[in-house]
Amino acid sequence: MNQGFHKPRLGLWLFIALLAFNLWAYDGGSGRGSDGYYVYLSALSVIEQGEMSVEESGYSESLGTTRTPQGVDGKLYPASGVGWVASLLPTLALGKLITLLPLATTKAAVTSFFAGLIMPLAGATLGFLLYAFLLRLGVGRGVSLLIAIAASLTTPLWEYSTSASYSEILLSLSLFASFYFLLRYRQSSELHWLFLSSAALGYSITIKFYSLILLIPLLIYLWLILPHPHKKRPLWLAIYLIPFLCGVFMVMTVNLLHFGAVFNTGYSLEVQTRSIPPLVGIFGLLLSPGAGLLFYFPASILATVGFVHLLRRHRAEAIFILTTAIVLVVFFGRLWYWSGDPCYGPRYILPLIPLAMIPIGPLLERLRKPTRITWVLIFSLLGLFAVLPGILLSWNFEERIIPAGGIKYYLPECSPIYTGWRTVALTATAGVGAEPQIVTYANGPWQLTIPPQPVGSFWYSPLYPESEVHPSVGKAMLAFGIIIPIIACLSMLTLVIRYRKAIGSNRHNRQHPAPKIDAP
Amino acid sequence: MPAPHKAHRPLILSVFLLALLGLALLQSLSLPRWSTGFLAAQSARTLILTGSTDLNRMTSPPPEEEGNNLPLTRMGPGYASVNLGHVLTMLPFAGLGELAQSIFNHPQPDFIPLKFCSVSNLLFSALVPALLLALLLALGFTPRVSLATTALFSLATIFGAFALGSECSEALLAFALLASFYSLVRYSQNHRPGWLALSSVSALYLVSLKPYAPIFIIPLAVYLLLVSPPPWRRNWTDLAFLLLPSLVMSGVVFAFNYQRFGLIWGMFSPFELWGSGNIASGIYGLLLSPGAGLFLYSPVLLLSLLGLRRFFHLHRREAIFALLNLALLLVLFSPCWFWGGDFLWGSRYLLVAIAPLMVACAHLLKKVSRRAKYIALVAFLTIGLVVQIPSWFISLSAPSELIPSYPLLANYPECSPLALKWQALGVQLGKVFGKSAGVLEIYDWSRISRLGMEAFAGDQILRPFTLRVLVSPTAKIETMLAVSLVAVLLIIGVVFFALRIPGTIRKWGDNEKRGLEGR
Repeated sequence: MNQGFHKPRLGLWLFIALLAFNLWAYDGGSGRGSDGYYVYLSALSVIEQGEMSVEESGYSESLGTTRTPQGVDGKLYPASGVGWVASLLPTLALGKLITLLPLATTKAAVTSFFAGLIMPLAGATLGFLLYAFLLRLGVGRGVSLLIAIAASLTTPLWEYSTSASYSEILLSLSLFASFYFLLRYRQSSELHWLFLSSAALGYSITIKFYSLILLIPLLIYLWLILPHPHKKRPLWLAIYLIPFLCGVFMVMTVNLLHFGAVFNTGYSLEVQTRSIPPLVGIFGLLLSPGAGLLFYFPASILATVGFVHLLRRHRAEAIFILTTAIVLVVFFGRLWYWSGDPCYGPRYILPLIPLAMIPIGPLLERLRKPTRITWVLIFSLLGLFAVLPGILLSWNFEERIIPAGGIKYYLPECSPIYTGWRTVALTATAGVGAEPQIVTYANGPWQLTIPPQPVGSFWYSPLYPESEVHPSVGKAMLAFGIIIPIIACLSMLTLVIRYRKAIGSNRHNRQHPAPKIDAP
Repeated sequence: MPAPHKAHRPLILSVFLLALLGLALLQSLSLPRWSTGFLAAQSARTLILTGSTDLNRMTSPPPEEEGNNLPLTRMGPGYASVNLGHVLTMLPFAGLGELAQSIFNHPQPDFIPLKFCSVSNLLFSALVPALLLALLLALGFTPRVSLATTALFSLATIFGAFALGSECSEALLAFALLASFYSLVRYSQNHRPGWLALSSVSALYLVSLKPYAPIFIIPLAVYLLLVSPPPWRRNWTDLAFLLLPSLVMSGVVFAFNYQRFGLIWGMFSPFELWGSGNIASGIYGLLLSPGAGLFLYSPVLLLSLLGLRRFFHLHRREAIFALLNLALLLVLFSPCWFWGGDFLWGSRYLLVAIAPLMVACAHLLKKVSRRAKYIALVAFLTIGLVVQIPSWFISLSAPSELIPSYPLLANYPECSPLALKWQALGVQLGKVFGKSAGVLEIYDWSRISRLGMEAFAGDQILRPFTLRVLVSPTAKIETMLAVSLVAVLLIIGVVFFALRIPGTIRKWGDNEKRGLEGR
């Protein structure tokens, strides 16, 4: 299997194709939420001044959100973790280097663009890891490729890979990497995989402190796969935790330095502790039309069916996926900000999506090729239908004038998928400057205002006629705007050709096996 | 397809009696409350006493029942918005009730007749599980699988709530459709005209129950065409035999409506209502919403979903009937603003579609191993009971009384009938242990006061959950709960006993055979 995997370099081409598609739809760091914005400022501050504090710019007032918290020293610090800031640094540094070129008017846009590039990279890496994981699990190359592409381009993972606003794609990547490394450890018993797995989880802690909950499923999985006798397992678990604890220690130190308490992440206590009846959040996360997994990730139906097969063939992995789902859904289902608003889809349970794609592998393998293709096509189209409004419109498009608070998630007429498509249709037919459309819903008293919005909040959106952009930057953007789609399509084509070649050579080898040479 | 063995007849009869006993114990002949059931009963009484359904002709007008907030007269002089079939169903019971009233002379003249009327719903509803069992046996399922599926249908779907309450005629509709379908299945097996006639009579009754009921003729006709043998001419004769009585009855219903309201459809024209809502909202609401979602309130249908493929392969015609039935209902109701059916309990408009879909569930149970079958049965019975229990004890129309803007709020998990009825049950149980209810705060929306909640719970739980035959209506709630607990345990015991009947019958047969061989 390894030989076949390396020769055609399908993984590499998959990564390139996914990266190109992510870059194609990348928002260029333009639409940042308050968290994403302050993390970006903090990363910029690290490069320019060598410290994490940020300066208030009135951004929060314009958004109507709370501003970033004040530290013990009176300076402002991002409430999100230090890991997110650190993740932006390499590409941001590259962006700073580019700004040294004589393009004085658009320096901020260039740095913002480069700072967010980590997200498309993370999305493509996640797709690659999913492919590698499925291969390791014994799923065929064709099915693994299909699943990796479908996961990356027809689920909310695509939306979050193309937006610099949220860190959930980084969290998803680190959790999945941690799981993948544990699988490698299970198959090879080499200790460095164990170390890498723990480090990946430690990294996720530095991004969001609540990732601590993900330790539960990982420990359960490790307990199930450890080859050592029961008595020694606690010792191995302790060893496993060392790199992870380094991450925890780092976060606590930063918290202590910035906010004066090890558990004070900067978010207000109310945000972190105010709970709601679990029925509201759990139902909302799973089944509500406004933010439910079923609607944004229709392939979850296939995943549920495939789970039974996975449980039979790969019990430990199935248990890990199930416990992760329970932990994430129950934890966020109880919090009043379960929806993660404003965002697109079930943001907080995004790490569940790549994991949920795994059971689909063994399920598809059982089906005949035409049936398999049909199911993949149906669910990919459904997924694309759900994801496209998020890709086409800016991150906060669903903020409407709706009188009720939480109830909007339960009304299909207020679902971002529905309102998003209406916005796209309205803009396409009436134009950007048209009057907002008033839609009456819920049989009467309430109205929904759908304002026409420029379709396409992409990094090359400034090329629209009404915007002002430096001519040389405009030319560069135009060039990339043409090159990147070509690269995306070409790399996908190469992937298909190489896959077909690999399949052909495998068939040939099977039909004409090498002659056995008798020993002299 | 094999016809059900004669030995199965006692089994079908015992299921009917068991269902009747269970429903009678739980419902205990409580008064039909709220609009349709109550008004149909009063119309039946009026018809007997005055020869007209004009309620104003009654010497003693019906008492103002609490919660009976729909106007009795909307367009006609004193005609209630009830359907002819519903009134006709209650007619004999109302007659018997009037007779009983003339003998016992109760101080409230409508007390005894209304109680008698509520028996009609009970009786027809108890026939539904028996018919489903007969259908499954007719389709070749083993008694064990058929009984398990029937138990799941009776205890773990919304059917129980509508069988217990006399508020709506959906249980009658389910009975009529199932009876017609079962008769057609039997007709397809032995081609005896009697079955076709029975199907035709059932269809006739079906169309009299609801203004929209004629659409059920479509799947029935399709099924008949699919199962009829060649030549084609005979198919058309059969079809005419099935359809003509229904068409005549439709004409009678239209005339009945026209005479009362000046509109053949009744009080509202369907052409005005269809398209009055959002279709996406309707489909989501009917299938998945917390307010009335089919799969949420009847979770056992998830098993049916898994068994659909096998159903389609092995009983293609029956599968087409079941799916066409469901699709037509979705097309009919999802574009209407009232798809929720007043958020009584689940998708009441889809109740009719549940029984045929249970055949898919039987296919799944048949396919899986014995252990998996047992696990599925126990798991889905438990989940189903957890969902259904509050609907058995709290009046169906309760949430709309509690929350004013129900079309919106019932879709919110906390305000859904499921959550509210559990809350009410909890409040009432809390009262038993001396705990008062707290304020029910609805996330981001509003509050329901402790007082309101207690008043609601106290009122609702005491009305339908009475066991008035066994316990005095003024008995303490503790006594009622204890008696009902015993009753429920008794029912469960009898169900498990009934599950053993096929085995016992087989043993008897084997013993008899052995005895004959020995001789």
